[in-house]
Amino acid sequence: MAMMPKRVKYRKSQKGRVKGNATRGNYVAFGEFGLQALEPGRISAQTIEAGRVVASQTVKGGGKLYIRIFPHKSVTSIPAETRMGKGKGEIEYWAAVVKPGTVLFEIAGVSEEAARAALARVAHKLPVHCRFVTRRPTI
Amino acid sequence: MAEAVKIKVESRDPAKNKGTGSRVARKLRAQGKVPAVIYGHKQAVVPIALSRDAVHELIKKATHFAELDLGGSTETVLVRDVQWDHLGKEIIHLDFARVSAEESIETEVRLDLRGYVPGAVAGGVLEVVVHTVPVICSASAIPDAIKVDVSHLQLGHGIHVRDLVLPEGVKVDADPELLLVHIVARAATPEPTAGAAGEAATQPEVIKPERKEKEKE
Repeated sequence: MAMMPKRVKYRKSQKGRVKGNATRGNYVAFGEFGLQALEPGRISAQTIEAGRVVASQTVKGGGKLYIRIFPHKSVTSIPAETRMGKGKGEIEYWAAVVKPGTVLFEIAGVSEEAARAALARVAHKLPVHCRFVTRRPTI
Repeated sequence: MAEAVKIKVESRDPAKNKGTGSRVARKLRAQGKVPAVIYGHKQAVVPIALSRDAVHELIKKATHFAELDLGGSTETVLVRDVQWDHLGKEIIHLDFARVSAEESIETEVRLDLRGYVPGAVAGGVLEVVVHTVPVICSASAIPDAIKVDVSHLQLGHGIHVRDLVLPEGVKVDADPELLLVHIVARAATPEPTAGAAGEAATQPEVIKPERKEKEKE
């Protein structure tokens, strides 16, 4: 099932704008390889789920996949052919807001070729440009 | 332990805001330099700049130690902090801490996993829980990495801090029971669930304010 918050303070949120770059969650923290967003955007819970499934299928159960984003933001819409007014629409889906630099997925326990193959298939499903990243060198 | 990398650095122009500030740093980066500072030993903080090539050499050698040539003087330093840009492509600032060879210091050292894992063949996956460990040792004895032999690990087995074979004079500053690496069973290949197909099955619970209950009282 697609991810969504268990408890929220307010069900609906304003649209907002995605400004600036990621200052947190912008490095590979848990796995060995990752997929990093290069542009701002919203990634829906369905898309995250699709990415998880395709990555797991590609590595065939080997390795460990980490999902570094969570859909905290509700996105509403009003039905087609509806007159204006009558308040805000109903929740359509939940989405994660990503900034350039955000690491979206991480993978561990597989070779670099396998990780590249899996994360490339994930990247095809995402609405933002991404790049393959490795852990930062420790100095 | 790797030898100290010798790097030629230049002190910043003191005429412009004592060579500090974001504007100065931005100009240095545009010239292909990396701003940095040297501090420690209760001496003055020295803002410096070094070439990007020197920083790449530091990364390539993966060493903690450096000998900075400041023109007239030489400082033995430890890389204390590294700031990366938002994409993690370039280093934008470095912190160097002055050290003496026999000084006891605390730093992070990466784990170097060695060996062919039999548990991974028997349906397991090698999961690295901790990639670096904090160590306390003399500045001259900082290991580049702590070697961890994983060639005996079977499914369900793990390596803890207490199992580490440490070089002489090096002490790990962590709980001995802390798990570093283990072999976990492979997860079954997931199938897309019905909820992922479209409609939101349920809605999240809305947190109601507690104020109403207080008003009733």
